[in-house]
Amino acid sequence: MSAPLRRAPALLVSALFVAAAVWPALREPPRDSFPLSNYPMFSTVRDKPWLDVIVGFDAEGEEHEIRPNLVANIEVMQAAQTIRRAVRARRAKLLCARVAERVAADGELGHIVRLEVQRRRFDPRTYFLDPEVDPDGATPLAVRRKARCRVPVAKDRS
Amino acid sequence: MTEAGPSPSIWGRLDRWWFEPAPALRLAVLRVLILGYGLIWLIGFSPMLLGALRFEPDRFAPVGVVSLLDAPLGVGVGVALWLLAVVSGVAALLGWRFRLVAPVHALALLWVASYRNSWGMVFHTDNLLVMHTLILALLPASDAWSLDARRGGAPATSALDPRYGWGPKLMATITTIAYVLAGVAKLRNAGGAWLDGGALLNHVAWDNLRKVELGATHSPLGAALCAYPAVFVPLAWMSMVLELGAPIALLGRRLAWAWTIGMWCFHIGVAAIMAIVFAYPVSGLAFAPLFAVEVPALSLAARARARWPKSRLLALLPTPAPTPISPG
Repeated sequence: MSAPLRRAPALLVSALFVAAAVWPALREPPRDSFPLSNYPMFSTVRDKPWLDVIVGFDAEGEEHEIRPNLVANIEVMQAAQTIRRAVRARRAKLLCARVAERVAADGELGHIVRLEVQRRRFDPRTYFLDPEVDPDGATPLAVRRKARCRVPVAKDRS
Repeated sequence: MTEAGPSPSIWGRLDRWWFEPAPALRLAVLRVLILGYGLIWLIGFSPMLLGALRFEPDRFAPVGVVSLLDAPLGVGVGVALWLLAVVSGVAALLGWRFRLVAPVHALALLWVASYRNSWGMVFHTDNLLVMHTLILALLPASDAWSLDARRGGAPATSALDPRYGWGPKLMATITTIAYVLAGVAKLRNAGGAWLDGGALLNHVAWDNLRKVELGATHSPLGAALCAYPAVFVPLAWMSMVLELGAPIALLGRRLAWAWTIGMWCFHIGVAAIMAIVFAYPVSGLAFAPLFAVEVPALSLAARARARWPKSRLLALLPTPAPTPISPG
């Protein structure tokens, strides 16, 4: 068999993989998928973005952090996307209730009596400034409550 | 003075470059490195991979091959596919019936990794691992240092063959394409704001802010640097040069070293200021196809033989293949 013919399968496989790898960037608009991606991470410009969060409150009204694993799993980005998608799909109340059940089952969070799904707007450029330079730098520019729910009283909590 | 022959055509040069002869051991070492990393990933990430099987169905947002499904898999099927990926991965790593088990492993890994990304968040940390594994599965990567090679009985020679050279070249090309696309996306989406450092500063601040607000570990270094916008101008330019300049790594080993070191430092920088670890590039494996990886493997094996000459484990190490006897 001649060399070009012998190499045809390798060339075909190579061409297919290269074309597949480049394809997501050639689409209009470019499309992110897996494992073929246009790798858009860190590329979007965010001025003063909104962040969707779930926060807990105790009986005195003091705010407490809700860990990512109570929302999705230990991957913070997965938790962030779960809240974001729920808010966008108008399912914030459902998500709030699900997380409240997990909070109720968590022995360390017995002091949390209710949850809120909030949209908070921040200015990333001032958030980490020294409070002496900008005392309100880390304060949300705006807060919108998208859902609230009570944490059910678990049997072992009462 | 010797008379120069006719210079090869551009196709001839491309052919020689793409089909650069390499020893069978190069592919074998890549097999062990890439599949070994894949197995560590499958087992190390199992809490996340298997945990996704219990997510609520209304969160299902399939990507890639998982788009074939309308609804999430049952837990049993998902666990079985993960197990298939692990078991076939062990067999493929050992080079046991590689032609059969490697494609099975590659497809199972593709499925498991895609499934992990099918819940609203597409991670970009494992794309190259999956692409490299898919390519490896189509290559004669068990012709040396494998159970297949032992069973076959024919001793592998150190002869260089184009069959073993184009696969690593393709893997390296896929690596460089990924970086070029990342650079293009930054220019396309952020444009001038990327080059003046503003977009990078915003990203570093936003990413760390998000982690603080969501109760995760953030980078104190990245947070502190946000007070010094000028720092982000050279960082933005450096990342752009490294990403768009990735193809130079394919042009020669010295350039490959220079680019790889730069890119590795880039990933260490990302980890330091954003607390985001791209483990496959940080481990160096994303760049391994650019190099003659059999050389350090043989060197390490020789050292191990000198240090523990009676160990039975030495049988597992790669051996230098006999040089082919030339006729006449």
